[in-house]
Amino acid sequence: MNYVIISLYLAGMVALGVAGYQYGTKTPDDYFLAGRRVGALVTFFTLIATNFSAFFFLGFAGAGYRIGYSYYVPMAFGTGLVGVAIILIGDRVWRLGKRHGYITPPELVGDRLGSVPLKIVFLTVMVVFTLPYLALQPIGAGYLLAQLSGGAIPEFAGAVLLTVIMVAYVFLGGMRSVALTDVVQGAMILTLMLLAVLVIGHALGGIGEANRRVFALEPSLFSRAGRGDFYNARTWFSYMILWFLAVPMFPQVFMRFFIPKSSLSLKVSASLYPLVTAGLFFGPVIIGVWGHLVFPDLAGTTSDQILPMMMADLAPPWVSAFVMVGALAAFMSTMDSQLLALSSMITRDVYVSFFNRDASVELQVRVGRWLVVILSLIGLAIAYQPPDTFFAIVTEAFTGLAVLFPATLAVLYWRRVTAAGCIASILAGEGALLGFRVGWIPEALGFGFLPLVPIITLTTVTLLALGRWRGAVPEPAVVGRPRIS
Amino acid sequence: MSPRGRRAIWSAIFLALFVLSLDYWRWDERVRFGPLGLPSWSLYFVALLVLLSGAIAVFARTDWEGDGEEPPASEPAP
Repeated sequence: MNYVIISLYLAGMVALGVAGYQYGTKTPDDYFLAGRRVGALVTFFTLIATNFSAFFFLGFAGAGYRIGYSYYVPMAFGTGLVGVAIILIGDRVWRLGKRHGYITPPELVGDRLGSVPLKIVFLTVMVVFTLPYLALQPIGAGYLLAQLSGGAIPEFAGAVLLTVIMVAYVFLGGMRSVALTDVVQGAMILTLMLLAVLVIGHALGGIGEANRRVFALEPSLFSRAGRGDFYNARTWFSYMILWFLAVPMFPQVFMRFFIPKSSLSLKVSASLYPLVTAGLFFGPVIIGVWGHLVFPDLAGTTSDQILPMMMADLAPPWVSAFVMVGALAAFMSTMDSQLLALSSMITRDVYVSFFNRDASVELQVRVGRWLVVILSLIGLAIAYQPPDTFFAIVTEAFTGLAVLFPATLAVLYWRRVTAAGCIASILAGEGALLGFRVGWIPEALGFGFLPLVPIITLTTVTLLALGRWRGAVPEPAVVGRPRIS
Repeated sequence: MSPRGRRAIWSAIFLALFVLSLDYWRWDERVRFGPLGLPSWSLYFVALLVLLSGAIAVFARTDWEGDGEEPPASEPAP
């Protein structure tokens, strides 16, 4: 039964990939951005499916188990604030992209200030913090497939199989295929998480009853600060702003601001985003909290497996298989978008900008396609034996990308911004992140906040200090852009 | 009201919603239960998120620029 469900899902993804291909992918605009003609519903689903990775299924439940209900709030409210970020960043990026033909985030940021060095710095940060993330995704996907097959499919073989299918539809249809699969994957994430909560809640005697039993067993899971006082006022504040700053700077999310057909798509997405996080994010956290009723003594990261363990223990096998395919969908919807985002940036901002400025539109698409293959092979090679530094980079990826937020905002809105200020701001932020990570900067300088807060303060101050405070504001130069259509 | 004034009001509304999410004043309150046995403070955040969604929807209808409109003058000219 499990094999039938997995096969149907994977065949459906390939079919959607082929459908995306048939609508035409002959120009970079078309291949990387679906021709900027994506409607409201698809924009909404592609934004949520891209952002909600398998961490939503597995990591949230694990954290719910370890921390309790308080984990729900910074994740749901913090991510809900992405709706405001869509107003602030998304709308302006969409308008500029439509008017000037930008395809990648570094292209937009560098071009607005006429600065190639800024474009390179922006690109480097996005690649450095996205590539290891991409490389580690197949590990989790392989693990899920091994679970679903009862161990019959070894983890690495599962990682290879899923990567091959994902590469097939990204290779064929680019953003159009990715967006189409995102609609199905997003719908699966929403419905299957709801199904998981209802089935497990029913097995535990009802949702209210399950909560009362957990409270009697471990009341700290219901406390405001979380189990073991996980949050204090300062870390709470830090987590509340983290997603607002980081999510729009994920290259795969940033690029989605270029794709809508009209501003209506962004308006709908921004309005619905907080509603989705309000409801959906309860699911895995609740299941994690309930995990104490069935598996009371899980330690450390073993608790990240609480959702599959609960499903295996309390749900009929076919329901369990469906829900785990939902987790697989969450994995794939994030990884395919990262793959396409990295491919587009390397094609446009490296290959075309520095090696072949006269590349035809057909050649750009061809290069983009083969980069999808090459990047996935790199990902698999790293997944086979990931170096420790990769785990460290992934741990810091959110803060590392959030460092780009002040410079991006300034480029979009502030007339006195300078390229030097943006570059210094980004380098100062990444330097401080490294300093906190390796201990060159004492933890005390974080003043009890997560490093994110002093780092963003530093980047903002640097940006402002190097603004063009004297004289008239000159018109920014425009770096010649490669062809897009 | 000028566009600048309206932008200031909307900024204040979104900022107020964010400030309301930092509900430190009641962290030490005894846990009470809401519907489905969920802690009542978690439902406070559900209400805040619904308000946030509503605020964005109203902003989108009334003050979000239409498709053909130029971005405000603060945008650097290309």
